Amino acid sequence: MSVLTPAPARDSLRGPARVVLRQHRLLLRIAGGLALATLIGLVALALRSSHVAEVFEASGCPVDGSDGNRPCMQTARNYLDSMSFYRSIFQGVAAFLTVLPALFSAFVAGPLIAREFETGTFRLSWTQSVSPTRWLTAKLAVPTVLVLAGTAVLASALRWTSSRTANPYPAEWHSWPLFATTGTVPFASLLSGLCLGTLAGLLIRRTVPALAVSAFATGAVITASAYFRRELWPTRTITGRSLDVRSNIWWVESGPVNSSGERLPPDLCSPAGSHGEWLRCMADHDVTSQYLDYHPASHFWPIQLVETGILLALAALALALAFRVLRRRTG
Amino acid sequence: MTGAAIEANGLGMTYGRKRGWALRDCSFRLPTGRICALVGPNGAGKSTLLSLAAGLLRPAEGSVRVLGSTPAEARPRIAYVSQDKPLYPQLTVADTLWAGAQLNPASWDRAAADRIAGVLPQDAKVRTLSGGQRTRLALALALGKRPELMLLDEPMADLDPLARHQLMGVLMAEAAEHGTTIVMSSHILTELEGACDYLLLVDGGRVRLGGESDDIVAAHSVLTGQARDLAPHTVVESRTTGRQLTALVRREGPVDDTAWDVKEPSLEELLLAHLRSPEAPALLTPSAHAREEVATA
Repeated sequence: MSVLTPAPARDSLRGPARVVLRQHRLLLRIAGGLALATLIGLVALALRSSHVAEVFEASGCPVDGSDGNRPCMQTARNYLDSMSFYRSIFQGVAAFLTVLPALFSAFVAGPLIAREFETGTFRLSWTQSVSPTRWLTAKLAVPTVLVLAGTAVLASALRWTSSRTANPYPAEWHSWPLFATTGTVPFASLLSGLCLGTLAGLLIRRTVPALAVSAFATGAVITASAYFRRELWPTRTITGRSLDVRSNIWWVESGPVNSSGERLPPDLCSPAGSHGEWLRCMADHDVTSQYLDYHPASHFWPIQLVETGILLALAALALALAFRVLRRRTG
Repeated sequence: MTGAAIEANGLGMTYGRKRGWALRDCSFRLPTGRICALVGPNGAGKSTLLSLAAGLLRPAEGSVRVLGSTPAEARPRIAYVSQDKPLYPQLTVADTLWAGAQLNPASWDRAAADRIAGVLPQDAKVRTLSGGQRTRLALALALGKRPELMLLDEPMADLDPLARHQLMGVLMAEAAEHGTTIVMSSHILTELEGACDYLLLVDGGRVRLGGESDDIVAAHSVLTGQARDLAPHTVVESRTTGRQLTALVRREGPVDDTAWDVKEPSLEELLLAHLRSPEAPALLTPSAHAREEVATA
């Protein structure tokens, strides 16, 4: 009778991890190829846009065409058109990176996990020498490492290349695709997508419904975190008769304040009417100054970290539930 | 004392309240080193029983112990082939065997797997294989793991008679050489008769018969004679043609062979008689009785 000594944890993950890699070889190759193509494309675009910018600089024409020189105005227009086109491509890549967690979640829930239940291959996987818990760990670890690494490379390439087109279209730090593809938030979103997908796959056990539900759930999480982002850290406020609007801030809310310091609704006096009407309306409501709630650029990291924390907590909860579901099902 | 390959105590499983019990109050013991036929009609609970022993399901009540430990702890020492022979469709035959080696690094035996899968086209994708070829590959994975207990759910259903004969031969040689315990389920008894020395009849979610096939057969007789009281014997099934009575009984004491024409039933007769008479009491030979002290361990 053979006595088996339990293999160390790292060894017992290596086998299943290799099997997962080979099972999804085709998809990995396609995804890797796409990521590489995107990377090359971004670099090429960055080089191209710096070239265009240099050529324009050499022409000596002002961007706004203020000297009234017709050929120069055309040059400026061409330059602006090209730069705006390049920026839109960067924005497109950034937007893709922000929805990547939903796609990843769908892949984890459907093809990775639910399909094993749908086709019955979990009966094969779970009766090898590897426990279902290790099986799931290996299954999740492999694509997660690859996706996180790919995202890190693409996000930093995006930042580097996008800085090349910062003029004349600067990206604001708080804008939707930029904020969600910099710092720690993209990784936390991916992890929450991973864990929601795992839970959906284990609970639903059919490929297409699991895929749809997890993509929807992760999409909802990404949208909600973008929507409530501004609430994640207390705003700063300035008040005054005329607001000294600093550059590089995230404008959250502004409106009139009356003499007793009470905030009035922002749309109190519609600017649609004449200026005189507007002044009378302001006087009627005893408006003495204006307020502005905003996030300065220094709030970037606090907001990033709070959002990351919330997403990671959600991920941890979903993952704990997923492993609990798995352990309850099997002996 | 030889150990138990499987020992069930009050084992029950349900797949949800509306669907009733797939298995209920099952208690039996399968000693190691046996080739056991797990027979019963469709939907009797055979697959559920095998899944529970393989650690794929958690029992709703009672317990099952495999090779002296829980099914989860015994996982590296069990091989299981499910009825539908699930395999990863996108892998090739060679990849599948490679995956077997990766997932069972401690015990993988390439030669044992090749003995069955060697005839398959190694570069063919699993999804292109025929049913019989898939069965071969699934069995090769199970054999390559070099298990102490093989749980095979309807293993031969997709095979032609020649392949069935050959694979049965390989399994039997394996069992003889390494003392492997094999449990094979089937609803066709003839598929297993002759190869198996142990029998479990599952019907309606319960174990109706359990023990060495020879002992079970020997405990029964077919009596033919003039219709009259059969006491003290337990009647499994009886049939009257005119004044002539034919009965399959479980003997409770000596049979009056002056009054009856006594014959030993075939295994198939015995099983069919039990399946036709659901109220006949269960019979477990001494070796098939679950031991209580193990149940509480």
